[in-house]
Amino acid sequence: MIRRALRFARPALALALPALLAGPVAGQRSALVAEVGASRFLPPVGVEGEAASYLLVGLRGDRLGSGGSGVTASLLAGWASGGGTGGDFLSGEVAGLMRTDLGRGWEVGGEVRASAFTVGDPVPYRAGALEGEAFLRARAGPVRATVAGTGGVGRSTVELRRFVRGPSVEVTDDLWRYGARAEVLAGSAAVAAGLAAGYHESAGGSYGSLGGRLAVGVAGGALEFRLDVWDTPVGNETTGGVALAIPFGIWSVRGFGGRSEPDPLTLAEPGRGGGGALVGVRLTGSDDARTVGAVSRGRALHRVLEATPAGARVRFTLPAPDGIDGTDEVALLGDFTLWSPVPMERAGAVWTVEVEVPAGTHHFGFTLDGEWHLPEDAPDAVPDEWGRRSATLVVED
Amino acid sequence: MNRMWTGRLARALLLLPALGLPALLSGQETAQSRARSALPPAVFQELERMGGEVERSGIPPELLFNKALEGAAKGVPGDRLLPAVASYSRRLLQAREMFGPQAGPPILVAGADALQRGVPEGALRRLGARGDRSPMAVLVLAELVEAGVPVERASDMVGEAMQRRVRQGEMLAMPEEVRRLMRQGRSAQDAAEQVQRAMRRGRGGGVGPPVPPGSEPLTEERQRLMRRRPGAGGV
Repeated sequence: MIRRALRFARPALALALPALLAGPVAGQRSALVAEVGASRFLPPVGVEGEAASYLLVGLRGDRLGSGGSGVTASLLAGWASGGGTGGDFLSGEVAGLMRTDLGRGWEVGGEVRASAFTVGDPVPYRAGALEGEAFLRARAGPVRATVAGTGGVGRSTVELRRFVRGPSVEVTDDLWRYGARAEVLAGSAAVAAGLAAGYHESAGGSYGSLGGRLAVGVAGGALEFRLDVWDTPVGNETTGGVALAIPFGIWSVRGFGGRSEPDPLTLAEPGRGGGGALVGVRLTGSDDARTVGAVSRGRALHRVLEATPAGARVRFTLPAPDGIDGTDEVALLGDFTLWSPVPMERAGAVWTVEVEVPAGTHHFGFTLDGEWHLPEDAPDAVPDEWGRRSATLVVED
Repeated sequence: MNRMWTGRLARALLLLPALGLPALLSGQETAQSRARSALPPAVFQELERMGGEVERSGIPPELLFNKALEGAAKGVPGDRLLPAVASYSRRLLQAREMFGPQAGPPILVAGADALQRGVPEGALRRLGARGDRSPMAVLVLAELVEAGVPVERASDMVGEAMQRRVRQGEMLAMPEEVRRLMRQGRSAQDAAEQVQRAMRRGRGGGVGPPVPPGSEPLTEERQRLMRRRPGAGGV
């Protein structure tokens, strides 16, 4: 089965592997992560049977620029046990991502994703798909709205035998879907909540969904709760659950629990319930935003978004827990602003602003209602000649 | 146009460069032009004199105007600006002498900062002699020394990191990793040794910082998490 699946996924892997394995360059981050885990799931809605347990082994990698554009790839194998209705499976996916910051809080981007899946039991089933999405995202203060148009085509093949020892017959189906989704989230990087909706036409009929999201930043990672009501060609379903992804240095944990969603492309039915978790270890690369000389670390006050011809575009962030909750005006000052205050905007629990910084070694800090301020634990702080401190930012050529 | 007006116009044109015409044409204000408008005339004149002195040593006078503007922005009284700029000027000249005539403003500023943070001149000179003229290397050296790592050990770590072409992200994380181990009770020397060993093992030995919580990674990651394939059960 694995040999057959690899043959199936070979073209996508041939495209992705050179990009993933090449050494990263400035402004990019890359990582190759090996994962192992387990999951247990009840059969999908409409299928009678026992729960299936899986031992999961996977490999995933990404190579992304500081702006979030790049390529990701993953391979996940599952061995079924316990006499459930699921079989051993292998799935692979390669995705290319593109994002462009239009300024003034607007962002446009897209994703093209090729995926393949094969499972041996209860009947041999293979599916391959090419999907794409184009999105427009707007941000105004703590509110972020996304609208996206999606579409995909694919093909699935089922091998059926009329007799146990008889010849197999391959039944092939063309898969397609197109539609749109929208999402509105409000909050900060620490907590955000909102609504999501989607509508898709597919080979199996129309799918509509409406749901809620609650995303929480925890321990350097993310935790999300979701609840959706689906109108599918075979009836109404409620799905939902919790998903998490938490890194610990080179280690990471990600998992999912709840009722999984239907898939308009492969026409998979919603799951009845289940969950699983994967523990990963980073084999190469680093997950930090390795950029043109300035990285986010510790209690970072700045993050390089992208390299520019003269230096870099940098987002400066000042967390609210520094006792600035009652502050009316927060501003960024640095040698790159000629020490003129640049007003920062409140975004949930932080104050933030984006500015262009030329290549060089720079000093900066903040004013709270006109008073100089630098957090106690600011990294790379250098004492000035007047008993105060400034933060340092190095943007290399 | 009579001769008198022609003469006035010529004088005006000759004065324009001094009044910051390049900055006006490029649409960008310089530290010098801003200092001219923001600082008392006497302070500005003294700054111009000091700027001329450092310029003869190849140091851009803009660095001194910027330092004065920094002080003004921090609310420092005018009489305390010039002594601070003079002190900064001396450190820049020291850095120029340490790193050589080829050193650009980024390494000079980093060197002046390192001196201010207590890095001995000899350590910076050794770094420069090895050809490690990266402002990042100087910054990390200063961070390590400030964290309490003995100067020799810190110089050795930074030199080795540069030699091994350790990623900037991992190099910048070294001081914080040393501090973390020190908070766990290790001595600065032990902590530095451990981080250096991790660096030798490759991939930074887990020294790299975790992904900070942020809205973009959160959105991408949760989309990836929730993507489902039949049989895989959503994981």
